[in-house]
Amino acid sequence: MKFTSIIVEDLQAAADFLKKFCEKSGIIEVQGHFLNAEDALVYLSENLVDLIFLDVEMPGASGFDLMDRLVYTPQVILTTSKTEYAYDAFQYNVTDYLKKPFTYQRFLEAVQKVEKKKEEDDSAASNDHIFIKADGKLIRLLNDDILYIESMGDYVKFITAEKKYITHNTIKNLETKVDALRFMKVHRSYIVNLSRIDDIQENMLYIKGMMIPISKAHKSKVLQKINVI
Amino acid sequence: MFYEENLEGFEYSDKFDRHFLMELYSGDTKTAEEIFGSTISQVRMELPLIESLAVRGDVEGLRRAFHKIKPLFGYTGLLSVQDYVQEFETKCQGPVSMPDIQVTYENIMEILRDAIDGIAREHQKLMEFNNRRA
Repeated sequence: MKFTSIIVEDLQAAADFLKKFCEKSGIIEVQGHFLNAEDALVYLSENLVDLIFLDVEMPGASGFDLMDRLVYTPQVILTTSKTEYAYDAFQYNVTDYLKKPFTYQRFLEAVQKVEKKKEEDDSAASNDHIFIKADGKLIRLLNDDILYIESMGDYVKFITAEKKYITHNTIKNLETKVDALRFMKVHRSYIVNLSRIDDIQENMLYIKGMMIPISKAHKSKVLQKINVI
Repeated sequence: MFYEENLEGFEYSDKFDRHFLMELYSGDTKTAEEIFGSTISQVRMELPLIESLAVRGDVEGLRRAFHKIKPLFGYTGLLSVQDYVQEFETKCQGPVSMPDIQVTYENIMEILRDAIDGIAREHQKLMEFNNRRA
């Protein structure tokens, strides 16, 4: 498994050094390096990453300020030259705390903690939501709230009871990303939330009064999935 | 990538902590050359800023600036310099003014300039070594 990451670090040499370790590990992909928290927050508001390597003392906002302002919770490894932040690091529940400069061996220990935490999070079935990029920000949608997803060419529309969100994506891509126990592709242009289906008539299903076609290819699978007694 | 073929052959000068550098770079002299190079650039860039903070008597600014450059001396195996910088950073904490730390400041700046000269010489040595190996 590969982890996407960014480095937030005002010291170029420290970032260069860390990038080398990430490359060497083969499992950490560095998507960007930011010299301050503000620039990193702009990036994080539009991009999801699994992990942040985060310095604490930087010009402007601190690493802790950045964590306070995150709209989602990637794993964080604090990288600092001070041990005094250990208590705060504990309070923020960071995955690890690396004191600069650190060896490759110590870096690998931190990466192992990231892997372990990821496994724990996955097994805790914490995937009750997804984040989508819409209206210039990342929006958290609870799986329960999504009624269905409709294709619009290179875009898709997420329909909830309250609102519709349009985002750049495809049904084909989303089919592998959404919770397979809860969502199902019923037509080349539609993925539906199985728990929100009100009724099915012939080759149509209805959710909150909205009519969604079921293709011939998908109909038997749909009937298998829903609880017909 | 780390270049494992450079595991042997390069000997760091006495003033550098060889054991620590070996642990840090695993004998990868190409990475060491890059990091020594970026350390020199960064410290040289920060020194004028540090001097202007001292002239203005901005002790908290000095503390932050020294905190920032401190790890660079770790990356280059000058652990005693890193400790001096830490000591100075600690001195800058709390209610102190520039006259209280002036002498220590001048000492630490002399240590830094000497350290940078040493890192630059070692960087040159690393470059020559890597060019010979290329």
